[in-house]
Amino acid sequence: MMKELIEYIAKRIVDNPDEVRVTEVEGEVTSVIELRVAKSDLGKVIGKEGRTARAMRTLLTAASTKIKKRSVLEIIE
Amino acid sequence: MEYKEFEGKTLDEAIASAMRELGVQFEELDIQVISEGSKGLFGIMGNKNAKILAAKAPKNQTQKGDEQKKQKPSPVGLTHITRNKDIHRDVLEEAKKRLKDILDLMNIESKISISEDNTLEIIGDGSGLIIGKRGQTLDALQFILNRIINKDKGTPVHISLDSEGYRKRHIAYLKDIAIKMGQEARRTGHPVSLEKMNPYDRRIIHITLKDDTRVNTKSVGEGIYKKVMIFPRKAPKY
Repeated sequence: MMKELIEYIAKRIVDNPDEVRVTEVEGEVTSVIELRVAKSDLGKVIGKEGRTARAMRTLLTAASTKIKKRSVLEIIE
Repeated sequence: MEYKEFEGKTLDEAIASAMRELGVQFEELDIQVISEGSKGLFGIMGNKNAKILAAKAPKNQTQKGDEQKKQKPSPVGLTHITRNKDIHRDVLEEAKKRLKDILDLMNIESKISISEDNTLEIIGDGSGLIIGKRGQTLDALQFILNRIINKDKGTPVHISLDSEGYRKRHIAYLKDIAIKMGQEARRTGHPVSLEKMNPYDRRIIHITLKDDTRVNTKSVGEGIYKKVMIFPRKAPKY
């Protein structure tokens, strides 16, 4: 579910949606969501002063609270 | 222009000492924040002083990066915070749909309605989950939604979100803080700094105090989140 959330957002803010790859590494309490995008789109998912990345992390945290899990977003270069 | 370094336990104290030493009012100061300082653990260990570089600004020099200037030409009142009037219905409907998708993916049950002033109102379970601590979830939703909607759009639009009357409450809170801290600045004769805020919140503080001739406001710091500082216009008489 968290994976789909990030995928949905990322695909709609980048120039190359086909190159968006999201994988979820699930742990017992924490899931790591790994986001990969085209190199030219890195700035788009990070945003000015990291604002976009921070907003995505905030949404991830809110969504995770409900299922009592923790999710972290890693943007992989 | 020569910059000098000033230190103080807090940002306010550092600036106050700069004003004293250079013998100028706050408006005449050109300030760069080096360190905001921190109280450290229990106020004992690891406290760091706030440090600034300050110089007397040459006369008539425009203050850089200051919202005070920008807000003056537009006589916009507090009631016009949402500049949504001219957004096309189709754009709003699209935004509504995207927002619903995101909330669904977040596992949050919600209903969205478009209010009269074109704000998207989210009706959730009333738990405050959609709003988050200090409105950060609502702000994040709004930011991401605008990113999505403005992708490939020539002229960007700004879509505002609200939930459970949060924005109204928050604006009332900010106005209250502005007035209280303005009084504090006047009472003590020292500058008072507020916590870091986003540009919209800072704007409300500036506007609330803009007609108060006894204090001045200015945003200090780098980046999107800055502190608003409130200064008494006259030095206190001891």
